[in-house]
Amino acid sequence: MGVVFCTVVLVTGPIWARPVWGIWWTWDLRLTLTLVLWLIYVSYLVLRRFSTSSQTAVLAAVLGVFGALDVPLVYFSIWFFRTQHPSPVIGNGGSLDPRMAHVLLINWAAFLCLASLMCWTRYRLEVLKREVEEAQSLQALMETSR
Amino acid sequence: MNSLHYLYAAYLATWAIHGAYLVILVRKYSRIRTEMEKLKR
Repeated sequence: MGVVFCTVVLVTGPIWARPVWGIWWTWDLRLTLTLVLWLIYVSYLVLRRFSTSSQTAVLAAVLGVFGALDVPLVYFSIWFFRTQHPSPVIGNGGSLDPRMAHVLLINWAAFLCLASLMCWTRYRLEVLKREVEEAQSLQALMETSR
Repeated sequence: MNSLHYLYAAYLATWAIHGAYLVILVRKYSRIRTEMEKLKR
């Protein structure tokens, strides 16, 4: 899911940036950290999918920690550094038009619902997959004991 | 290019990425269902 949402950001971000900044991409801190986050998530998935080492779980956990540490860095990067992105437009002193605040809130709520639904579906799939794997192991064990 | 075209492109990309993820989820689900059916037999 992190890969999905990061991909949306990395694909749609340049599409917004082009008419506003006149460029598709710049190595600005927030963009670079988001790209790093996407790479961490993809590395995690690739490691989980293809690695057969006994250390896979530990390495994946380390990658997960690095990914989690990168998330606040992405968010706060525009607070502490001058980047291509504008300073925060929401909250006190923000420049967000009040009419846009409603639109933003509705979209934020919709995406939160979508993310929750995806998370729940993904969790259910993983539970089902484990149940099937356990049943397959049990069946194989019963066949060998015959 | 008109600014609205960028907006359409961004919406299209968002839906396409989410749609692709949905397809992946459905395929995973149907694969698990098939495995479950095999086990029941």
